Amino acid sequence: MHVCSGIYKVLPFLLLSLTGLVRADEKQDTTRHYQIGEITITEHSRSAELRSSAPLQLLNSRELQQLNALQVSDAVKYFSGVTVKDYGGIGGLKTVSVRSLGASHTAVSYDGIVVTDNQTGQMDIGRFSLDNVATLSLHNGQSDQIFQPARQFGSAAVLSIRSRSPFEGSSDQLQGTLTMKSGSFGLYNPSLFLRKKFNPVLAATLSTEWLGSHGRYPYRLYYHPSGQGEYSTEVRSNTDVNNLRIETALHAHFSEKKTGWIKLYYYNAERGLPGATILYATENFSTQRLRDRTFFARANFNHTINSIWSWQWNGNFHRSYVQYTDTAYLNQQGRQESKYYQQEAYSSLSVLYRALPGLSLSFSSDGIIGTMDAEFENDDLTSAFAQPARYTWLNVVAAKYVSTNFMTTASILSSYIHETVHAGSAAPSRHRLSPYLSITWKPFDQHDLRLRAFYKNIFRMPTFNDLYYARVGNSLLQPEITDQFNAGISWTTAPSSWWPFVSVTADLYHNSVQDKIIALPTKNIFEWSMQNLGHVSINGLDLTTETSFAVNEKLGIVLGGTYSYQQALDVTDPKNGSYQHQIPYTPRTSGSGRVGLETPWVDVSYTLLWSGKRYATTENYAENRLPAYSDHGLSAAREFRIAPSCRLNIRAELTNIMNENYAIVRWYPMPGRAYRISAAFHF
Amino acid sequence: MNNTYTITHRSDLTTYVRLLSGMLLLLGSVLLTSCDDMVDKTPPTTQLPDQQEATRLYILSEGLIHLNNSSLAMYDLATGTTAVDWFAAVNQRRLGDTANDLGSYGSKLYLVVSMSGLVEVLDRHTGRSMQQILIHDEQGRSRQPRNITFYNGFAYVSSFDGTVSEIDTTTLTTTRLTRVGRNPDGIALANGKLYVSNSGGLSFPNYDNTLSVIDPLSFREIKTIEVAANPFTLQADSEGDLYVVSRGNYGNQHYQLHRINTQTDELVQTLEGVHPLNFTIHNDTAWMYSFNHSNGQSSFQSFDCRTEELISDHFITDGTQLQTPFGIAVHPTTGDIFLTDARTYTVKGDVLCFTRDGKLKYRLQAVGLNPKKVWVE
Repeated sequence: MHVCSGIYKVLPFLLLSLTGLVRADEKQDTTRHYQIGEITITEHSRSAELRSSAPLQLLNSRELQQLNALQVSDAVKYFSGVTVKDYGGIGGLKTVSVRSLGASHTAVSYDGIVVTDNQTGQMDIGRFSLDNVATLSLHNGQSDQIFQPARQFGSAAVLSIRSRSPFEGSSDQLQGTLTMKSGSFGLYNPSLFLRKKFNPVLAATLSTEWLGSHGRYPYRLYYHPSGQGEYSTEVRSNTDVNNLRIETALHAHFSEKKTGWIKLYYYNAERGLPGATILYATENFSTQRLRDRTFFARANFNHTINSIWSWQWNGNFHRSYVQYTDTAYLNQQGRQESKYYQQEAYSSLSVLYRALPGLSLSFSSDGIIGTMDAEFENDDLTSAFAQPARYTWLNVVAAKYVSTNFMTTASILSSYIHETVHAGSAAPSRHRLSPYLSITWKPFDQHDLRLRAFYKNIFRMPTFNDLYYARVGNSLLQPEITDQFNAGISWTTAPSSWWPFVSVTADLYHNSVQDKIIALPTKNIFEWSMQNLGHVSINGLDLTTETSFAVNEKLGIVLGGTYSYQQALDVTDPKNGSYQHQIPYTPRTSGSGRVGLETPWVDVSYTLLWSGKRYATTENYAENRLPAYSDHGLSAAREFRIAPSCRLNIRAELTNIMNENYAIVRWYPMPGRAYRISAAFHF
Repeated sequence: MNNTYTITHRSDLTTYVRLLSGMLLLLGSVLLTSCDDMVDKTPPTTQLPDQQEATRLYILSEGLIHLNNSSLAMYDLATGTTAVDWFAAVNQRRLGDTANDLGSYGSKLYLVVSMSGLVEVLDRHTGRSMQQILIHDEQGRSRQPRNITFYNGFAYVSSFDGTVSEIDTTTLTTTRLTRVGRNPDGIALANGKLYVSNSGGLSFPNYDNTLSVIDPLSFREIKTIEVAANPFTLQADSEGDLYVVSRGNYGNQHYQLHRINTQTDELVQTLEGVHPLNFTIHNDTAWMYSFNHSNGQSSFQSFDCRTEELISDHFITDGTQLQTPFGIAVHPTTGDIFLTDARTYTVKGDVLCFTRDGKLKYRLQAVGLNPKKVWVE
């Protein structure tokens, strides 16, 4: 029996998509490394993950569909080692912390350029739609790709979102997808994706989407500290969202050696902030609103000069506006209104030098200017606002060596940060060097088993809020530093033609966070201040596994699962009551599972998320415990071919099918059972 | 193609099955050994002092905002009873969010819970709730009640929304509402009148700087008295002098103690050499603590309200240190002084009992998150 031919026969319908989508994720230097033979064409979507020297998890658009996920945040929960802090509902804040390092250490990259928020330092990943996402990937440490902007080297983990490319299809016709989603809690989500190849050189995409929902979902409010016994049935209120997203890109393929693109993005969201559920006063937060506008324009140009030299330029201009209002705040004006304006200009130049067969070197230099302004209901506050500007200059030198059974990458990042303010005192200038090293080794020729390890030392800057927020800010804050050590294995095999694929990755890690920036209430509970006080020691294990079965030519099953173990202990001060306690909102164990069944009639998928208990505050006492939960989803989809080039895809999803009443963040209940129906017309 | 990372395959199925089952076994054992090994930790427990004095302590802890974790603890020294979350244990429900004040009138305890917007009335002996009085506005939002005082069968509650509510202590219902200044915080009775400190605390940096004087009969504000910015605790001595703390802006303005003549309702003196953040008066001695938020230094002064002179700059005499003093009370009969310590504000705090000569008598550990008020019976 010849297994290889078997695997390729069944692969096409096994949703383990070939090439294209994986390529999209590695667009930056795929074409470059292609030449040194690093990347193969006929590989399965998992191979990037299995080959990576630092843990990489990747979901392509097909897999994303099967996760019963609406927002990027829903999908990220299926990654191992990840804690998504989800305040519930579509509009609720969602941030992602990787391996207990804290959300501010996760960079979010969109089409290869990091999206930042200097004010809060963390991205609300709920704002990213899955509608036009080609791949979603999570890198611990950093990617093996060394030919990329310096900023991609500058965080402890990178969540990377890649949008769909206009060169995906082969047709020169206008192609597109018109989708309508609707479901529980007033969900209304039409979207349109168009792509057109004008000629062999130019192609464009347009993606636009409206997302609306009243979001009023019921939940049970328990009164006893145990979270059991007497309860009342409440309805979450002030939860409406209205989001508009428009993005368009023009891609140019000047030649095999010269490519480029420009992209415009606009996002406008208006939502209610339902706040925490306050016992006996659930109406407290009925007056808080958030308006949010983001615009960015970005461009990329990539030139392979010859077989030795390549360079690329990335640029971005980003503007955002956030307006928070509370029309019932008990101050002099009877309202709270804060408007925050941020701008960022970014330019990055990267050079790749293929020194020897297998050895490449790269250098990237990024310059970033970020500014922030604010207006408040109170003129004294407005005039006292720091109006900070941050000038960042990042330079990275990286090297990568690849041989038949061995790969290593190393980099050193130099960060220089200077800040100015209009009021108050500016944080001192800072310079840091951050090293990274990773290796992967394939010890046996006949088994696809790899051993891997990485070390990374990196920091995050204090945010503008940490440094300059009225009363709270502390301009003397130091950067928060993380160290990561990881050792793991990845293994894959194809036991037979009906069992064409098994993969397992297992990683053990030790992380530490020093000078962790924590907020402490100082004067009273209304007034907090930031301090470099925390020290966290983290030991963990991440497991991922996936297998597929090909029952016959038309019937396939895919099973995937992740498991995470995180011991994340506060080791700040032996005299403190929380010493050696697990840090808040971090489960010791968590995991996910998914099963996809593909048949000629209908595709069915089942998804599971589960989390062990967590504690809502720093002390691991019973009264602070949030119980374990699981969230099951189920969906069925069928595709109808209407015309040779037109397909209609109908999907019905049920989320939280056990109607489990749970919260990820205490007093921010999650929705119970809900449904979604979508119809996508591909032409 | 020079493919360095091809997936290789062996056709011997049994080898795979063996290899795979080995991996699964390993995986299984790893999973089993690393399952959820996190167990609830138990807070340190307190050994009550041996002396069987007839003292019962009620300790109200604020909790952390928006976590609904305010609590009421009860310690009975005579019977050796300790009940850390007494309210929830007796009433099978949580107290609510951000409890701020604790008062007693007759045989009842009154707990003022700010964010939940209520006054919880308990039978003081059993801890059983007799009534939950909502202090909400017309839209059902909390008025953010802060402090309570009692007079002639009525309870008076100041609320951050600029109102004072009157509660009939026999029917346990609100009867009247009156308007005062911005974010009224402290409330006290002196010379047959109600005095409210208008802090303006939610309008940083534009604090209020007035006291409102209310006639309890007409239930109207009859006068305002100007003091320094951000007035807070107020309390009267036996001579009809009302003392009030102004906390300033926590920056260049320092804590001050004012003396108000309740006959004329005028500010007569801002006292030199005393700088309390908070205080309590017992037998015409004011026991005060101060805490500097920028350097973490605290000080403990005592003051004679008759001579208007400082008694001591350091009433703690045995060197005991507090991390973050957060509340103060005095035993009505023994004169022992109780200080609460909020520690880092995010971990359970302690209550320390000192004798009148400033020696630590005993310490109640981990009584609650941000212990704020102690009421001694």
